[in-house]
Amino acid sequence: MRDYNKRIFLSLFWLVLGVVLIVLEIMGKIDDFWSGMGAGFIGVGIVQIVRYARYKKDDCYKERVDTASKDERNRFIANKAWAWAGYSFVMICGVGVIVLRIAGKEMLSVACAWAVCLMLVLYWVCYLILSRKY
Amino acid sequence: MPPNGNLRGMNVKNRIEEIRTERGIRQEELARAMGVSRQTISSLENGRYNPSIMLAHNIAVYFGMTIEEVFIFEE
Repeated sequence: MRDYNKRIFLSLFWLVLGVVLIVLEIMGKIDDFWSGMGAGFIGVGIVQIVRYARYKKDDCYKERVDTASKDERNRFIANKAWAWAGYSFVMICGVGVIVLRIAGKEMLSVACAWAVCLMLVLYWVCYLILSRKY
Repeated sequence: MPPNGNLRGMNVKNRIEEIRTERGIRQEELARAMGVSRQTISSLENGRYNPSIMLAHNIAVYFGMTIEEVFIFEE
């Protein structure tokens, strides 16, 4: 696991941010949307800290995590999964644009169209950056 | 060599399972020596995944052979 200390620090940051959001909600400064988000941050922070603590103490677990993170087939699958997910998202949004328009949900249809445009722009930006790098 | 793909109609097969069993090496041992998961070795042996040039090189070195002796390029 790379940047172990940075990851611990980030987990502590989520934990503290979560507590701050809940305290602010109790004080009546913000609404319950943010305290709900704070609870989520606390959950993420605790789970991550437990994982990192186990990583530091349990050598067997450490080896398993390190192997999984470096394993080239895992990376290949993860990259492919992201590619499939992105492609599926664009396709679903594309179908959504038409279906929602027919169903009279114009606002949602436009939102789907914007999502498709954003994804395509992001794709081309990423493509340009990667084609310069490789 | 693109992972899981053909190179202009060429197929890549390998003799990893054959060599490994000949030498009495378990998948776990080979995986640990290569720094990959056991599932990766299993996928390589089944031909579901083609390795990077570095992994192919490391496997060949581990067996004391050349890449061409372990990996077979067929049209």
